Amino acid sequence: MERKLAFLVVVAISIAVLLPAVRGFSNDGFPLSTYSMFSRDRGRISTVHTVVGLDPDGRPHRLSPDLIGGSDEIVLAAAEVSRAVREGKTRALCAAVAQRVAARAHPYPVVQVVSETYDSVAYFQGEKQPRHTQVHASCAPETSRKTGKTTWERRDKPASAVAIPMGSGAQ
Amino acid sequence: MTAEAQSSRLRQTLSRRESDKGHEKQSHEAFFSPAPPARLAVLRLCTGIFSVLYLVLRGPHWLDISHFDSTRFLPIGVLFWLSSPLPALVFQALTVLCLLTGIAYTTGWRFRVTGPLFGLLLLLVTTYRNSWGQIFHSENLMVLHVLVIGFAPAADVCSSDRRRSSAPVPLRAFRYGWPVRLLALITVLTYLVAGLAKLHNAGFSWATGDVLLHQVAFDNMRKDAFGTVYSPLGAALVAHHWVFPPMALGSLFVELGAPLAGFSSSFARIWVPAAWLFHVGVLAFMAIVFPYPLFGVAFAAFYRVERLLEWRLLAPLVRHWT
Repeated sequence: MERKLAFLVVVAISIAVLLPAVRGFSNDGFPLSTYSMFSRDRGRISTVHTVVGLDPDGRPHRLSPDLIGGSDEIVLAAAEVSRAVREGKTRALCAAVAQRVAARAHPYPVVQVVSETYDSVAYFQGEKQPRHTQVHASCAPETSRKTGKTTWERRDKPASAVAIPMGSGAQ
Repeated sequence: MTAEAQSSRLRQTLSRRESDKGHEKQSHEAFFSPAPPARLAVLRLCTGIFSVLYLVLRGPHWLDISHFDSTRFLPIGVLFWLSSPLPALVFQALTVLCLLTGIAYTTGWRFRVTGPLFGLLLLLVTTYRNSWGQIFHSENLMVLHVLVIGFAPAADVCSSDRRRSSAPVPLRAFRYGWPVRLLALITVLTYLVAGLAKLHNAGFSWATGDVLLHQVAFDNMRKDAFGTVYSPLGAALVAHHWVFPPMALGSLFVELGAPLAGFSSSFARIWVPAAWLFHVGVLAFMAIVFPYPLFGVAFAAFYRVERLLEWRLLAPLVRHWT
């Protein structure tokens, strides 16, 4: 009896672990997963959705995952920006990031939600400038010195396609 | 009997290294053959120590999600039915409770309750933390293993429960064997699924190395674009395309060949180091850490881990639990 029960448990768990594959790798789950994270061909040309801070001279600088997504996990920050771009909610994301930037007194008068397209292989051979940049939303964090309260102003722009040179280092 | 003598007896009887060899060779093919209780107990210790440390080190970062906007919540797995995020305090309390039961699981304290409870709580908090638009594939195997061990008789020896019990424990038994082999089976099946996903999504062209090259290049580029640390080795290698076909073939060998390791101990001796090297490669080329396999815990069920109890370093622990 004990042996039969053990056999059933082993078969049931094995089927459960294999189920995401049997179902055609359609939906990833947890802890039963399709493990399809490195399986698709992204091609050389890839788009990275991110948020940058513009300094007073208008030069863009990288923002950390913590400022962008509210967590130190880069994949969570990337997923959040991708979702905002996909669902057309970049204004709300821009405002949230602007609030975090202002709260930490970073010297960026403007933050932008952008999609940057690169040749990922050429990137590490010196081609660090995006081939194409689309600005989805711009907003300006402003901190009132008198009240200590943080406000931000949205500078909604139509999606534009401008190549922007990047400053270095995450803040 | 002195504590030293008891400790010596435990090591001799439970490990039985020499006499086990012949027995293992005869019965290894039999999935349901008996095993010593110490093997499952040491696996409890390995997974428990790893999970507790993981919770201590990563838990504070998980609490960040308590402050996320509720629109980011995309419940998955056992939490698919949740329509909105849990109150921050509830998630924080569950994480602390998970940590406490994890300590009880590791020490084998009232294991019949704390074992399953830790497994279920770990499933709950990790599922919740993965329900925010991104699944972290580094935690799946740990959760599955803890669930299996939590429901198995993994605290019959080397545990707090053992100190309070005078019931005899068999030297080998059926009930200690199959959960260990199930852990190994789960491990190989997860690698098989990952390999099948590559064939499904990219076909055999995955073996040419181009897909891997683009993955390594993109992942490092995205890390750079988010201002975080990327792998300088991976970044340097994208200029050398010839490196990627052998690495892609090696990855497919590890993933698609994994089931053989579940049935052949000889193949497992090759496969386990190969799988470990695979994760070393992922760390070296993509700066992605899979700590559960990298620290070897994912592969512990392939070995007679009860031999660890013979280490002098662990002698005080063995004496304490005898």
